[in-house]
Amino acid sequence: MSPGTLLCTFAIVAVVAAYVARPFRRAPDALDRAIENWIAREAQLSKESES
Amino acid sequence: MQSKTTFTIAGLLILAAVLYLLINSTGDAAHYYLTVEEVRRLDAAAQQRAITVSGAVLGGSIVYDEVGVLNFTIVQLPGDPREMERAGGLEQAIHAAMNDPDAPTLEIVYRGSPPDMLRPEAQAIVSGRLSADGRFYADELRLKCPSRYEETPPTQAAE
Amino acid sequence: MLIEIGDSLLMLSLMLAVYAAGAAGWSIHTRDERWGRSAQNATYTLAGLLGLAVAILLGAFLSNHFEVRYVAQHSASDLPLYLKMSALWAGQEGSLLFWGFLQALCAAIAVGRPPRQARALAPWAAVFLNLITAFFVTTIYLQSNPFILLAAAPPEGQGLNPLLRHPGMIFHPPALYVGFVSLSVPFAFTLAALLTRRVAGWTSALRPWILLAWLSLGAGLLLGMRWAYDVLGWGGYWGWDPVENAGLLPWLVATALLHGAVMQTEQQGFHLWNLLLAVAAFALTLFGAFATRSGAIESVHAFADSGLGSYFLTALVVTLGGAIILFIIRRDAVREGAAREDAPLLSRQGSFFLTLTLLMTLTASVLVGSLLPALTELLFGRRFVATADWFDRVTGPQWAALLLLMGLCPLLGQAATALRRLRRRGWPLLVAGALATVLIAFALDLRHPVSLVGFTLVGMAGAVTLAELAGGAYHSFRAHGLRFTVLRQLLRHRRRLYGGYLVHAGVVLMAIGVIGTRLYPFSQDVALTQDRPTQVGGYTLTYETLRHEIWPDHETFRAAISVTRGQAHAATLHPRLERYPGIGQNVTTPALRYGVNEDLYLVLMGWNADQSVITLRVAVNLLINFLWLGGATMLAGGLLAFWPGAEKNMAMDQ
Repeated sequence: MSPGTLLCTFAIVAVVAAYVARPFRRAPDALDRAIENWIAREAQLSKESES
Repeated sequence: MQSKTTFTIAGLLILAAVLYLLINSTGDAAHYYLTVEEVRRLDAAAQQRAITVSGAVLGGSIVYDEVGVLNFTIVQLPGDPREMERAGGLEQAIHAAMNDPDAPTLEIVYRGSPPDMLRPEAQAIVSGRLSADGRFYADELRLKCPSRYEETPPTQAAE
Repeated sequence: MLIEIGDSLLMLSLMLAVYAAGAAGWSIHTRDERWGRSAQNATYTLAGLLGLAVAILLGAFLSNHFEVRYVAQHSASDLPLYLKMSALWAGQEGSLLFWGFLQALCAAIAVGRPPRQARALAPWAAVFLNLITAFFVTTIYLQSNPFILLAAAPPEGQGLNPLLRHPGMIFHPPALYVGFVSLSVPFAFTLAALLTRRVAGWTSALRPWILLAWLSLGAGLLLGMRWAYDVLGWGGYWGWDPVENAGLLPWLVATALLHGAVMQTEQQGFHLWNLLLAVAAFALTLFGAFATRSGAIESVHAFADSGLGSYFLTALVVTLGGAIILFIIRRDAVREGAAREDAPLLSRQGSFFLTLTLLMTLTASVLVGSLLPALTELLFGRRFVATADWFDRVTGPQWAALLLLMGLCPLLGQAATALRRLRRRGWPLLVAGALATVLIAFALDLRHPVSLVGFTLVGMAGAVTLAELAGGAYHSFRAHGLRFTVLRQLLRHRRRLYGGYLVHAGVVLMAIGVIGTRLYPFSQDVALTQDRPTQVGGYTLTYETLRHEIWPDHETFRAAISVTRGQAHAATLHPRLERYPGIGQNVTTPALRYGVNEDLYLVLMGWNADQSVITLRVAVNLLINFLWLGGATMLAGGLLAFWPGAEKNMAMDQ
């Protein structure tokens, strides 16, 4: 297979994989909430360690 | 239930009638389906019967005359697909048959419009009767749609 | 490079199809919606990938890339654009790829927008539809790959077989393939229904798919018939060839399924029938592919490849075996889902039962006929082949019985009132119809006894169908006045009903055509001397000239025949014969003169040395244009029923 073919094939595979895996992506706001929860937990832990 | 019985009986009656039609028509309207070799081995009694034979059209044998009578010769093809594959595929088998002087052949006489798919090495399915002069007089001629890659022939009666 | 991409697309499609089936199955097992949606996305993408593959192959045709083996075998530089496009499905590999693409497209639509009542079945249907696509892609990739390059690119392609250069042949394969793939949807949903024990109430939801299959297969069959009539030059339109039968078998089952769906909508049971019919329809599609694409069953147009045959045969065995096992495992669900209606034979439900039975015996008869050599060898040790005569004898009475039922059924209402209605309204209509057609037949000097029986049935069915078509309209006009808007309302709200009756009217017309051509054949070989009028078959023919034209790849002999009917000159016809020395093939093109009651059909057979005498085959095809009119009417009726829109009042009043 020529390099052009390989490149095109990989491109197609990438696009298809992204589309097929789309339902498994965490929703953006869920990700934000997860991050905020983690920050809050860290803040709590550091407050506890201070006192 | 009453209606279920009626339905079942009606259904069975229809089935029986159709079965009768099938068997009756096979007795009257079906043809023996033979190879070139088998046709040549037929005895006089079998010549009364309408038969169908298939084979490959021999190149150079196709002759039309001016009143629409067509003459050509068909040659025996190996009936068994496995034998065909051993020969290397259909095209090889046909070439072998064309060049084999011992391969059984059959002369066909057909009266009708020039068949559209008739050409050397086409597969012909011919229906008609064998006559006393050893030639096969065809009533119906079917030719396999020509295609240009490997194909297997009709599976013929090979005993 | 593009061809290699095409090859990779096939491999990619195969993996994706397997993933889609697996993901759909996993989503059912874990009840995880995300896997279900992923499977959906995969199904859509599959259609896209295979579409891309088809586009690549098409591109190769349009840009004359003869290093692609398939293009070299079926195309040439000087082929017109539309023929280069249709060459895509002219051969084995390309047609199978196109079929696979349509299958994937169909799966995507069915999975993406499942019918509302069957939504719960969609995940399982997705599994099976993707497995079917996977099968096709596997077969294409391993056994029938169009993306194969030749070692050296030939300067020119081998061109398209002259016989295939006809508009009928361009649309005939795609129409059939659309029909075939549409039948996979009811099949997939049937299996899904059995697995989830939801056997009732959804078959009618799949009616659009069944109707699409029926319409496409019908169109494909009619196109093939017209092509045979126009091009092949034997004056006929149907030879009971195994490949023709391969398209007819699923169509017959689709017809049965449509009628069964009507019964199920009207709460009259027939659940088991419909489940079995859905499986049978798809199985016959696979059988048709096996019959046409392997050498096992002779035919005039088989593509032929023994390897391919075993793929389809395996698929067929797996399909039938799996379905049977599923039916056995879920037999309790099937039995309890069936409505038990008590109805006598002489009722709407009874006549539908008889109709379905007859359609299935017809299907079985045609199947037996196609397989007769194998069957007889198995049973009797001697091979017999079924002739056209065999098929006519076996199927003729069955068609006649169906025609009779078509006349009786609309007259029968619900069980209790059936006999009374028949006596009061039915008999006069039947008798009037029968008498009218028989009298007309006598007047036209058509007295063959079997045909008179046929005409009687035609008259009865025709009268009843006309009455149903006109009756509803009459009542509406009477109530609301003779206005166009009333007619339009009627058509919009009773689409399915009027579509159905229009189809029946089409069948009646086709029956007239079949009776005329089959029972009153006229064919005679005639030698015509130049400028000497000859009487043949009610016409006077005069051979005027024979022109010889030379083209790049063929030479044409074109005869001019002047046709006179009575005193008036009717037409000048030009039957011709083309010789293709490169291929060694002759193509005869018949000349036709169309008439209301018959066609004059001339085929050039030969000529003598100085061209002073030519030989023609003259055929007069009686009533044949009723056949084509009937076919068009059937398709119009199907289209009317298929048209999306509000269906008010679905219950049959009256």
